[in-house]
Order: sequence, then structure tokens, then C-alpha cells
Amino acid sequence: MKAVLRPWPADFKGRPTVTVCINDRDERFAPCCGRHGGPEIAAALRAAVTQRALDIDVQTIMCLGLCAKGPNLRIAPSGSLYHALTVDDVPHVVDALAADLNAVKV
Amino acid sequence: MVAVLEKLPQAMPREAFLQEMLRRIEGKRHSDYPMVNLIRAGKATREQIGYLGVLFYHFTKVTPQVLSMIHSRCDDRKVRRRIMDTLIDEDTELRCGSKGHDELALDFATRFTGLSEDEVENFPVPQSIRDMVAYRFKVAREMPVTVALGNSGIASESHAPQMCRLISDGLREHYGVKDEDQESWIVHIDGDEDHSETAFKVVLDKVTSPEDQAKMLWCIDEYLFHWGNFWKETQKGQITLKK
Repeated sequence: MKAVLRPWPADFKGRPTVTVCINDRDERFAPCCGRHGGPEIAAALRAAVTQRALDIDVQTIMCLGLCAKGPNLRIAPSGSLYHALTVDDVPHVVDALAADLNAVKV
Repeated sequence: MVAVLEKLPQAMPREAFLQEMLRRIEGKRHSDYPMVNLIRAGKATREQIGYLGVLFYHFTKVTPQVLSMIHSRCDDRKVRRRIMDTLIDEDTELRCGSKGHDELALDFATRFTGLSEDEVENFPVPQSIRDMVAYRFKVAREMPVTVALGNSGIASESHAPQMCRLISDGLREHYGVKDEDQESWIVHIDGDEDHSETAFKVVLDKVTSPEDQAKMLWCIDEYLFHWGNFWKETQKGQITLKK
């Protein structure tokens, strides 16, 4: 897993969104997140967020424009990115998000 | 045409040319226009955003043809390959994405406005946007290949990711637009970040004569003028939504 972490907007008060790429297409020319665990990562994230009662919206998308680096997810509105994710990385991502949320809401 | 094609007495050194290009962009980035910031702040009307969606589709749909035209005129194998990669990204889902970028723009326009694909396609496009499209074809057809590449890469794409991010965050936060319905903006936020660097490198390496540098500067001024018209036009919100 690789992360590109960016700061939260100073005035952010809303609900963060985590968007996971689940695109599943022909891989002759480039890899796609959907064939390397994207849907499973999205499902694991939803389960973890629900279990911990975090106020985070988990969404899916068909492309974040970073196919070669996937599986990818993006966090809004910070713009942070996680690349080369596996399902095993999900607890770490959720921990980091929870910590960020606490810091933002203080 | 509003920009003046200057006559440079001699070629500018690399750093001076770079600074001159950046100077001309300053204050005219996409995110310098009110429309982008109105969306981010949740203060744009739905009509303004719908109108933007439709006009952005009519801008985006010609990009593959513009790129093909430049590709067909390019003698440099390495540059031609780079154009081909971009063309594949723009027009297909083979290397990146789920659809061509024109289809993504059409998806956003139809889903946000409630208009059908035919209605978006046949929407009466204002003259300023038709002029912008004609300008893009003119540059692709008549300008030196590297200048034509710089026209898009430097004058527009170099500052497009920030614009797309502001619009996307605004749509999600204030208008309830799901990310899957606004892929057209999201795919450019992080995916295009290296386009700018590539465009600057190609232009600085290849656009070295005073004549070509003058053409490059003319293109930057002229394209930014058209983009200014684009953003001002979107604010009119001249569309009747069906949802």
C-alpha cells in the first residue's frame, strides 16, 4: 500500500467521502482496480465503517484516473489517495480516517 | 481572435520562456473564474451547473478529433506515441477509465440535467463555445505540432486538476452528486497531474525559435481568452432542467 496524504480543509465540518475504484475491464493495455480487489476493498470498508459507527460515506467509482497504481481509493475533501491497496490494508485506512476525523472535529 | 502575434527579436532562454508562459496564465486559471468557486461554495444554481455540463460536453467531444489531427501531422515518433496514449485515454476505456471522456461528460450532463443524450447533443451551443471549438481545430491544423500540444497542455490542462477538484467537491458536498455520476470531473483531478509537466517539458525542449515561441505565447493568450468566455457563458445558466 502507498499513501499520498493531504491535509483536511481548515473549515471542513461535513461528512468525508471515501471513493473506491471498482472498474472491471479488459486488462490487455492497463490494469484495472476491479480485477485486483476493488469491490472487496469497498465492501470491507463499508463493513468497518459501519462496525465502528464512523460518519463516513463510502462510495464506488469506475475510474480515478490512476489505473496503473491501483487498486486505488480517494478521500474527499482532503484529496488523500491510497494506492496498491489490499483488503488487509482496510483496517489501517479506517484507523487513519478515524484519527483524522477526531482531529478535524476537535 | 483577440491576441496579437508578437514578433520576438530573438529566442528567449528556457527559463525566461517558462516564466513568460506562467506570467500569461497568472490570474486566468480555470479556478480564477467565479463559476468554479460558486459551485465549490454551493452558491451556483442547478441551471448554471447543468449548463456547464452541457457546454463542457460540447467542448470535450471534439478532443479526440483535435488530437488525431495533431497526431497525423507529427513527425517525431516519441511525441507521436505520447499523443497516441493521450488519444486512447480520451477516446476509449482501454488504458484508463470506464469510457471515453466525451461519454463521461455526456453522462454528467444527462444525469444532472435530466435531458436525454439526443437533447444534450442537439442543444443550441452558443457562438462563444463554437468559436472556442473552431479555435481548437485551427490550432491543431495550422500551428507547429509542439505548439498545438502546448496549447492544450499548458494553457488549459496545467491548471485543470484544481478546477476539477473544486467542482467535484462542491457537487458532492452541496448538490448531492454521487462520485459515480461525476466521474467526468474526478478522473482529471489526479489522473492529469503529470500531463502539465509533460507538456511544459515538450514545449521547452522543442519550441526554441523566436517564431515558434511567439506562436506559443499567442496560443496561450488566445486559448485563455476562449476559456474566459466559456466560464462567463456557463454562469448564464441558460438551460431548462428536466429533473
